Order: sequence, then C-alpha cells, then structure tokens
Amino acid sequence: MARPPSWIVLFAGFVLVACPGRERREPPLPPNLESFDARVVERIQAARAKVQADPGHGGAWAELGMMFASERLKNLALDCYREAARLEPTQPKWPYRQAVTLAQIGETSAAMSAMQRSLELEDSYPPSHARLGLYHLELGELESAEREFRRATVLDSSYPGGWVGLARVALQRDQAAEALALATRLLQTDPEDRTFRQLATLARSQSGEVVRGDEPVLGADEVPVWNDPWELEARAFRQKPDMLRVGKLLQQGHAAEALLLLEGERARGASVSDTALSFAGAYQGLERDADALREIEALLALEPDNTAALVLKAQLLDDGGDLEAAVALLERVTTLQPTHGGAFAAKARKLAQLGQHEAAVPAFQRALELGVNDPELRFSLGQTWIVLKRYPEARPLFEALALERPEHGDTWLELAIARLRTKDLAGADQAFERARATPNASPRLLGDVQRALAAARERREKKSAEDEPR
Amino acid sequence: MTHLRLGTLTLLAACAGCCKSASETGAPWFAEEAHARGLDFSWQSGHAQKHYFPEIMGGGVALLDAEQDGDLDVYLVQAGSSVAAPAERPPNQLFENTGGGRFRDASAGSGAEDRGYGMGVAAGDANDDGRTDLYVTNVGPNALLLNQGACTFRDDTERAGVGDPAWSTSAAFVDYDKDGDLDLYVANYIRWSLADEITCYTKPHPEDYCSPNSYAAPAQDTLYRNEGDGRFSDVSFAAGLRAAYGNGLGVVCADFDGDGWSDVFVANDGMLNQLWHNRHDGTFEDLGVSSGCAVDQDGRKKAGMGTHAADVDFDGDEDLLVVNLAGESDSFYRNDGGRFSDRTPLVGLGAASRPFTRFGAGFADFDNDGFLDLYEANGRVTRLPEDSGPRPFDEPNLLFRGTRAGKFEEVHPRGGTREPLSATSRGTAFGDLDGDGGVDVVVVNRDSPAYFLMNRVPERGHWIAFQVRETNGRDALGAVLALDLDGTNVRRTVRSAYSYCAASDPRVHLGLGARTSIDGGVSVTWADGSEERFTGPFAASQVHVLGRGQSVKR
Repeated sequence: MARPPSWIVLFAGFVLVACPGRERREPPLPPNLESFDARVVERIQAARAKVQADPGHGGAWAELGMMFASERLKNLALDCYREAARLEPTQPKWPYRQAVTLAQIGETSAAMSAMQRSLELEDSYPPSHARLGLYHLELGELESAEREFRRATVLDSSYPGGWVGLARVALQRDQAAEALALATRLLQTDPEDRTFRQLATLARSQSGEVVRGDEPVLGADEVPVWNDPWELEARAFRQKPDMLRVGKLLQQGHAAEALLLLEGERARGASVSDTALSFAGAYQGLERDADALREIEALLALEPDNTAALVLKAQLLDDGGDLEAAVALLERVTTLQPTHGGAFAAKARKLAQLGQHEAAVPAFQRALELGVNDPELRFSLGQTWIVLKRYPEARPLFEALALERPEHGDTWLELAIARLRTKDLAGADQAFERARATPNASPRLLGDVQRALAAARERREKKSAEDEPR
Repeated sequence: MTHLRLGTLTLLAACAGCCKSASETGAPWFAEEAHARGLDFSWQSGHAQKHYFPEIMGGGVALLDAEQDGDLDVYLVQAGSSVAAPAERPPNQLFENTGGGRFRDASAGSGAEDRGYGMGVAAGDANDDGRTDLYVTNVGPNALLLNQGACTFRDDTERAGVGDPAWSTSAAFVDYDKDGDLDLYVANYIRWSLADEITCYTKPHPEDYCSPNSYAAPAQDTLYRNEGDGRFSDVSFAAGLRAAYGNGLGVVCADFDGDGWSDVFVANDGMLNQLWHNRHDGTFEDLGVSSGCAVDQDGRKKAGMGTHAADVDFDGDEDLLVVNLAGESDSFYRNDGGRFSDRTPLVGLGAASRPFTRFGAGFADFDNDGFLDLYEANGRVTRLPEDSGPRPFDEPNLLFRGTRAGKFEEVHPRGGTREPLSATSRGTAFGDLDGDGGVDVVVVNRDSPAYFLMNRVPERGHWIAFQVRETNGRDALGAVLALDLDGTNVRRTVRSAYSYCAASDPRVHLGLGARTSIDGGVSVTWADGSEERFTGPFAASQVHVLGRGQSVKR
C-alpha cells in the first residue's frame, strides 16, 4: 500500500495539536455498572457529568479518578489520571496519584516511574520522596530507598515519613539499634502514634529484647498519612459525610472502611460526642480495644452518664478480662436507666459467668420483661436455673425453646436434663435422641447427659430389682 | 547466618549451565496434564445465589502412597452445596497412580468417600500400622479415614474421637509429645453456621463474600493427643491452645527454636499469626508476637492463608513463609534461632506477590539446582471490581526461582506454563508423581478442573530423594535430615502438612545440580530427639530409604 504524502501527515499532526478538543474523550464507564450498588452508580454518574461539562479540565478528570479509586475501580482511576496528566502536564499531583494507585494494585515498578515523573515536576514535596522510598524498599533496593527517605527528611525534618522509612531500612539491614534510635525520637514527637510504637517494638524485638504482645497492631490497610495534603485530597473522596453509612459499614463488619470515613468526619470538625461511639465500634472491630477505650473515656469525660458509652466500656473491660468492673458499670447503667434491656441482659450474663447465679436470675428476668427477645438469653437463663437446681422452672423454658429451634442440639440436651430431674426419664431419653440427631450438640454435654441418663436408668433398674418380690 | 556458604556457590557454579536457562529464556517449567493423565476433578463450591462463606475457601488435596507401591496417589476433597444434606453432596475422590503419573479413579468402594463440605486434608499414620491415613477437614465434623491397604479406607472418626465439629481448614500430624505416635493439630477458621451467614458489601458491588472479621467469630484450634490405642484425646484446653482465638488457615510444624521439640505455626486470616511454642510438658505458649512472626515488617497483621517452613538460607533453622491477601505482600520471616525478622523485600517477594490473593504455597527445588524455588496458587476472595464476568475470582498462579543470592525471581511465562492458566486456586500439594525426579504440583481449583502440573523444567539438575521411615515403616514426620554438601549444611524436615489445606509428599527431595551422588553421610534426627547417621555414598536419581535403626548408631 502506498504511504500518504508527507504533507498530509504534517497537516494531520497540526490539526491534532491545534485542536485538542477533537481528542477529548468520553469519561470511562465501568462495563458492569448494572451490578454495582445504586449509591455507587449515582456517584459515578455525577462525577462523569462534571467531566462531560468541562472535558478539557484536568482537575475534573482527576476528581473522577479519585472517585473511581475510592470505589476500588483502580484501572478506571488510572485511565482518568492519565487523561488529567495529559491535559495538565505540569501538575505534579496527577502522576503522584497515578503512582499511589499503581502501587496499590501491586504495579510497583510502574508506580516508581510515575512518582519519578511527579518529582521531575515538583521535587520539594517530601511525601513523594517517602513513597518512592517505600517502592524501592518493597523491591529490596535499600540504598535507593534510603536516598529517598533521607531527601524527605532534608526537605522537612518534621515530616515523619522520611524518618519512619529510614528506620525500616535500618531494620532490613539488621541495624536494630539505629532503627530503635529513630523510633524513639519519633515517639518523643508523638508517644501515641501507633506506627512509631510498632517500629520501636520491632526494633527492640530484633535487638533480642523480649517484647510484650500488647503493643497496638496496625490493620492491614492502614497507611499513615501524616502531613500529605495531596493524599488527604484523594481520601476525601472515600468519605461520605454520612454517619448512617458508617453505621451500616460497622454492622457489616467493615470496620476499617468505617474508620476511614470517621477520620474524615473528625477532620471536618465532627464532635467527639457525635463520633466517639462509632469510633469505638470501629476500633473494636479492628481489635484495637485500647483505642476504643480511649474514645469512650473521651466521651465519658464530656458525658459521664452516657449509658451507651458505659455499656460499651463494660464490654471492653470484659474483653480485657475485668469482668467484675464490667458488672459494676452495668449496675450503674441499670440504675441510671432501668429500662435498658440490653444492659440487664449483659449484666445477667456476666453475673452468671462470675458464678453469681442467684443474682443473675432477676437480671435475666428483667431483660426479658423489657423485651429482649433473644433465644440465647432465655437459654442462658435456663442454664442458670439448671445450675441452681430449679428444674421445674427450667423445664417449660427449654420445652418452649426446643419447639422454637429444634435444630439446636444443646437446647435438647438441657431439656433432657430438666426432664430427667423432674422425674421424666422417658421424656429425657426422647430429648437426648433429638439432640443426637442434630449436628451441633456439644460433644461434652452429650457425654454428660448420656452418663446421667445411664445412671438414672441403672438406679431405676436397681430399684425395680430390689422392689421385685424374691 | 544469612549469607550462603561458599560451598553452595561452588555447587551452583558447577550447575549454572544446566539450571539457569529455563527462567531466563522463558521456557515453561510445567505442563498442565490433569485430564490427559486421568486426574479429572473440580472442587464444587455449590454457589447458587446467596454468598455462603465456605464456598470461596476450599478445597484440598493429599499426595500419599495409599497402597504402598512406591508411587504417589492423589486424594481430593470435595464440597458440593453448603445447604445440602451430606448424603446429597458429591464424595471426595481417590485417584490411584497406575504408574508413571497416570491415574484411575479408585473412589468407588474405597471407603474414602467422605461427604462433608470438604476443605482440606492431612496425611499421616494415625494408628501406627505403617500405612498413611487421611484426616479430612470439613465445614462441620471432620473425618479420620484409616488406610486398610489396597486403596481402601475405613472411617474411624467416632472411635478415634477426632470429629472436630468446627469449620476446620488445614491440619497436621505431629508428634508433639515425643511419645512415638502422631498427634493431630487442627486449625479452625471461624465459628460459622448457615444460620450465621450475613450479607457483605464490597465496593462497588451490593453483595459479595465477607471477610472473616465480618463475622467477629474467630475460632480456637484443636489438638488431639494420640493415646496409642487408636483413640485420641482432645487436649486443646490442657495444652493451652484455648488461650487464643484466630482465623486459622495454614499450619506448619517445625522445631523453630532448635530445642528438639516440634512447635506449631498457624497463619491466621486477618488476625495475628500464632507460633505455638512447645514447652516440653504437653503445653504450648503463643510466641507469635514476641518472636516476630505475628505481624509484618510494619507491625501490620495480614490475611495469612497458606504457609511453609524451610531452611532457605542454609543457616540451620527453618524460615517461614506466609502468603496473604491481594494488596499485602507475602511474609518471609527469616529465622535466627527462634527469633523472626520479616525480610520479604530482601528475598524479592515484596512487590511480585502483592497483586494476587495467594492460598496454596510451597518451597520445592523444581529445577534441581540446589536452591528452593516457590510456587503460589492464587484466587480472589471478593469479586474483581471492574469485571463481573463469569469467573470474577480467577487469577494466575506464580512461580519463583530461588537464586544463589537467596532471592526469589518470578519465572515467566507466569505460573510456569506455556499457556496462561487462570482459576480460583486453593489447596496445593507438591510431590514427584511420575517418579522422574522433578517435583510436580497438584492444585485444586474452585468450580474448575484441578491442575496437574508436570515438571518439565528443561535441563534439570540431578536429584536425590530420601524416604525417612520409622521402625514400623511409616513416614517419620518431624524427623530432620541433615547433610553436608561441599561445606553447605543442608537441613530438611520430613513433612507432609504445609501449604493450604493440603498434604504433600513427605519424602525429602533434594536438587543436586551437577552432582551425581552424595558422598558423605546423612544424619537423621528423629522426632523423639535421637540421632542416627547413615553412611554414603548415595547415588543420585534414586529414592533412598532411611529406616530407623538400620544404620550404625552414633
């Protein structure tokens, strides 16, 4: 095929350069949009509309990218950042965003190239050097990593990212003492920073010290931001000013995600009163009980009679092994709010755990009166009655529970005991057989009941043998 | 000691020509031949509409010499529907090796057809009769299948008392109390039942599989002590295991601190890993945090899945590998006498592993160059956000070549096969199934055919294998084999349980590079701590049997 004359090629090139509008693209759309959550679809459509209204504006593309990234649509986000960088080639934030996103999807080498492009445009932004250092570190390139971390500290000695990076490099080099010195200095600036504390713990451990296991552990997706406005700009897109959403996330077990939203809320000025309970719930979900307790204490300092906070604190104390203190707090809650069914239920369970069965019974009963309709609670009450040998009261409760949840093996076993102790051996046998037919009966309880039944049968047989006339 | 000894380098230099070409030229290391060799199996998740968590976690595989004819047979754990009654579920399958790595389905009438919702399997001689038995882990009661010979098994769960009713994943036979019989460690995942299932939201989809922490119901593991009469006792509480909860997925047993007693490492999903240190009195203490293998180099807990231990750096103690969720790199913990340092970036596993969710994993010297390579079997646990195609969990697997510098380099083509393979891979077992001296791999895939990856590394080095046996003929799990190769101390544990939900060939396979024999002796430290030295030379390209008491004692 003949090649086109060179003047045509030149003209075509001129048109492309002079009329960038012709190159403008439609903002990307996920091909599987119909399978997305409706709220996500709404966000995507709104962000796309902004780009469509101003398709030559790099910032609009970057915003769309940040929105996509916040919804885990990282490849679409990269597409948008590339377009933003093309439209605004002198803006260092766009290749920076590309780098961060590429690193998140494991494309470390590509992330390094993007971060280097960003640094060519703006060399004095410390987080860019710190992140580039991290990418080098991940590839095991310790010298390059050290160079970048050191540059970050030179640019801003108060920015922790560079120092943390240097400590990490030292750990990889088995220079635990140096790492510990760096971590100790960082801790002087903020003794509560969890990253600093972990660094210090790791350094101490590597230097041969026996470390305790109670240092806070970081969640898998926790990346400290410190002073990184470019990252905070992107994180804002992850956040929806909607505490209902936080609640839903917590309910679904997405504590880390809820925490990010909450941090945004705090950053925008939300009060401790409005957020502490959610924070505590999120921390609890992440097994950061000390942080959860800190939030609760902060709230109780403002509102000492906040019963929700007291109940949560009791739960945290219980988790920490201080059952008696937990019960004391719940006593206070039930005094402050005698209609708090949940508090009575929790108190009852904990009293039973402490072996204070007599005291537990009225608490169980009050919780049930207040409408706590939880079969487990009734089951626990029944067990308490069994312990107290109040079999006639236990029996109707387990009879009802067994009808309600016939698949629950232990209910049948407890019923078997109640029937046995109320002189109904045949009924007890029947209940035991029902328990055996379920897949979930506790093996130990099964064994106990089986032995009790056998003993009862033996006694009965012995008695009838004795009663028989010789 | 972290640097490789000179002797190893010499050995490598000698075989450089024979071993380096494969990864550099891109020649495939494996050929997928499952169907052609009669190994047709697909782990059926039973997924229909609702997302039930177990559907995304199974299943497992065991390589064992079921009929004691010298080659490895394959046992594959099946699931089916999590809502169906056991009788309606498809059974587990046993494939007999008819020679040269060709298989026939020997399931019918074998007695090995457990119908639980299967997760994984451990292999070991539970009743001390010299035959390898199977312990199947399920979502629900587990099953102990005693080997009766001739590819037949008998379910002895009830009598043995090992039917742990929890959701179990990986398990390991281990003689933790040095009484000469194999005890059983069972990792449990979460406390779950159909009634407990919840609906989870993972951006941007309205419904997806949950993470284990969504249930807030971590489980406790179970330790069964073998009483020596065919019965086991649940000693979890007395042994101290009830002191901790975890979302246990991977288990590997080793004497990590060199005190002569087997410890147990458990990889937990989204929680701290546990290192159960054996206190020599029947109890264990979790030293995960204080020994440095509970979290990563930044103090973060990860989603641990599969795990393996091996003396990768030839310093005489076993290093640890844990593979994790996408977005988290592998964790390679260098062991220095029982203290661990996360050195993942330095061994080259920092960036390469991060894009994928890895489950099955194991070190093996696939190219027989004297250095352990690494295979990782991958598959997502939540849907790919940008593609809701018919297989949104599939991922390629990864193969790394161990280098003389103590690093791992990814082998291309990715996963080691000429044609790219992509599936939701889980349990993965390693062993030489065709007896040609190359370690092969069997990978279980969710709702798609299992892989049987035949080792086809071009110009592999020489090899040698040792079958280390107790007096009754059973594999001496936990025994440690040590030998000197030109000044390098090579140390390998006789082990079947590692990776994820799998049991691998317990024979110790060593790549020899250009060497054609091991001229010096081989030492075996048995699980009870006694030592025996077997004098050489040992010729390459053979499996040598080292039987207890069959050498001159030191």
